[in-house]
Amino acid sequence: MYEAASRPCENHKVKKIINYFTYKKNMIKLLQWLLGLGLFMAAWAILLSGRFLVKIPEEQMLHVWLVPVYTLGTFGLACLSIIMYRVYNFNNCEAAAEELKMQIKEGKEDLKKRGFRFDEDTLQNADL
Amino acid sequence: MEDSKSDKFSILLPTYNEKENLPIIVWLISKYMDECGYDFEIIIIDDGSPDGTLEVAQQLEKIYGKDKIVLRPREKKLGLGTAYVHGINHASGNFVIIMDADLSHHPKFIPEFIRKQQEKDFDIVSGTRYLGSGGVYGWDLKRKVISRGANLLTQILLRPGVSDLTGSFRLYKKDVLRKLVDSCISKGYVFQMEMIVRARQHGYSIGEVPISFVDRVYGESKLGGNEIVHFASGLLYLFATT
Repeated sequence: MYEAASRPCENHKVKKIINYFTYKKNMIKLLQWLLGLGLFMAAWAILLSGRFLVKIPEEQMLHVWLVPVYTLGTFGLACLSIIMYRVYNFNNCEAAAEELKMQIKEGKEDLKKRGFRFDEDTLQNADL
Repeated sequence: MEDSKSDKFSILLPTYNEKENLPIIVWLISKYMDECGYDFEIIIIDDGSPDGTLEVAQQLEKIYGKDKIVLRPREKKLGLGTAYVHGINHASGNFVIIMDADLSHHPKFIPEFIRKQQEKDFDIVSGTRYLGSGGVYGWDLKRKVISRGANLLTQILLRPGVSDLTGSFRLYKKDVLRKLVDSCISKGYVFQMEMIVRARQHGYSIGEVPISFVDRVYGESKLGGNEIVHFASGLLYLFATT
């Protein structure tokens, strides 16, 4: 598929560009997005031209012009609701924090028994 | 399945001013690893902490023994990536576990990581705050919104196939970690993100284990404008290079 350019010099240039946009033969994410955007623009242009495939009534054309706005709006709303849902369902690990506090105490006592010296500064913090 | 008895786990603890947390984290690691009967060592890489973290580490070395506590201090604060390389070079295990020494990562999850790894012989097991029973403690609404928003944006742009990219509680096969560290150039927690994104790119298999993240009990936790700019530029860098 990379043989599109016929002249060797251009072929080299194309390869350079492809190299820039790929990593280990996979398209980089930026290129995937540009490709997606390009396809979207092409489909939109077809609709706008009204010459191919579908004929859109004149009074509906405003909506066709606004397709990108609608798309972005829907996408934005979807993202917002996903974030809201996930923030709401983000677990608060109260039990884990409690357990850790207990274990800090337990650990300090055990370490002291084994001869570990905590300095005074740390001892004050132990009651946090 | 491989014989898990011959596996050894090297736990890397990069530290900087962690003298309060270090004894506790070591005590907890030792407790859980001993309970499960796993062979392990803790490699403490202290970057010249002025608070005497190294002195604390030396005390721990005496209590637990030189085979369990390996001290590999460095003169001054150098990058996280180089701390990992430094640690790997001294690791005698075939698996390396990386975690924060500030108690936000609880060692009770390490045996779960190991069981997960053995399930499908994963190259990497990553802790996740965003799945199942995973979660956080000590975050306000704003912090949660930023975290979830940044995570969703990353998921949309990079589609990494991993739910928690900025977390740093992970288990790696040692050679996998070495290769990854070599191919990553970012700093800070963008480094964690780059590691996991490049891991996918190289085709390594990644398992996930839900973890509870208890934000710093001692000390300050930070999320400022700088962090957000750092994150955004890191995201764009990965977007344009992976």
